[in-house]
Amino acid sequence: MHELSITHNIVAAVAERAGNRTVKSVLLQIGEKAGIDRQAIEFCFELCTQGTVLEGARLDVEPASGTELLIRSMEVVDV
Amino acid sequence: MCETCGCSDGAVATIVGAGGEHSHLMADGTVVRHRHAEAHAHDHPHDHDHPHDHDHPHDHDHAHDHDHAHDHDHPHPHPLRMGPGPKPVHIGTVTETLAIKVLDKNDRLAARNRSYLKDHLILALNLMSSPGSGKTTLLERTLVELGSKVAVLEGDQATSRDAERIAATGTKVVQINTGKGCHLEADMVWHGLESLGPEPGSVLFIENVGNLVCPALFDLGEAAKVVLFSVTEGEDKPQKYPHMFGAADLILLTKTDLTPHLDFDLSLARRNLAQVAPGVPIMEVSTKNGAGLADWYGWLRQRQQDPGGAK
Repeated sequence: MHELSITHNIVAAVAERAGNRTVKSVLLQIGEKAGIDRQAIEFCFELCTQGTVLEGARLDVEPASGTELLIRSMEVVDV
Repeated sequence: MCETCGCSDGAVATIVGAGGEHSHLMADGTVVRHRHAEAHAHDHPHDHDHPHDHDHPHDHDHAHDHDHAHDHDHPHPHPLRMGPGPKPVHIGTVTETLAIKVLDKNDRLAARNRSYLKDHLILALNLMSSPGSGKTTLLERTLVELGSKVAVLEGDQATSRDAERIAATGTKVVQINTGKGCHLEADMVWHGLESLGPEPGSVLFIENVGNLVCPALFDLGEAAKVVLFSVTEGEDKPQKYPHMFGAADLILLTKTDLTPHLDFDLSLARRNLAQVAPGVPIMEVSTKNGAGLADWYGWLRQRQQDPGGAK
């Protein structure tokens, strides 16, 4: 289940950028040839975000072309 | 003003997110985020019967269309100023563009491995296949017969059985147990290289976790990916796992000594491979009777001429 380690990477990368701000949502782009199952990512996302600034955040997924696997943006609470 | 709804007159700028949710930067500097229903049309089909004086009752169907404009509520407190008192706390959100490639970290670590391997003239090969297609058995024979300096990194979820088999050939080997992981990643290989210390000029075989899915996604810094496909698998494996076969630089059809006992159609398997991996060389090998191994060794020696070379 490579989606688990990929989701860990996603959560770690977003948490690093967010610092101590709470993340409300993350927008991910998954290419059709990325070899990544969207449902598996969604399943892992809830697990991987527990205890992080992403806990409870929504995951939005957009389709993309090729092997793209990109964290496009995050929505954070503005303090 | 927000072009989607026009509701934010007086706001300075908007950041539109997915799903109709959006934020407005208010004049006082606060950002509010909300979603509201848009005007939309409803169809209400309905049936009703009319009793008639004459002797054949019948139905009428009507479809009615009508449009509603909906009012909407904002699920956030408005920054009303009602005389003296503390300024209301207003929690808004902002969207930040990240554009982070998820596998970027692995790719950077793989580049470090590749540069180390090139500097030490080490030819690194990433061996991948489903479990049980003969990676370790092929290595056992290759390590002895190739006649080059060799070293092995063994990847498995658990146990050091494969490393023990490799060590029995007298080859330097380090076992990497991935635990819950289903593939090797570039940092595991980096640490493996630190422990293994392969000799300059050697051939390094990296035996990946037996799995036709995710090892294809993770660059380890190898010079080439070698994918094994045994004749005891179905001819349609390439179609089922196109990412793996599509990523291969060389495909070895293994256990060919078994073909007389199987219904496996070699030419169909080759046609299937050509579809997902056009132009990739295919070699038929058997570690039992040695068929095709000379081709494999020839390919290895040729790659050794330019260990860090392009694929």
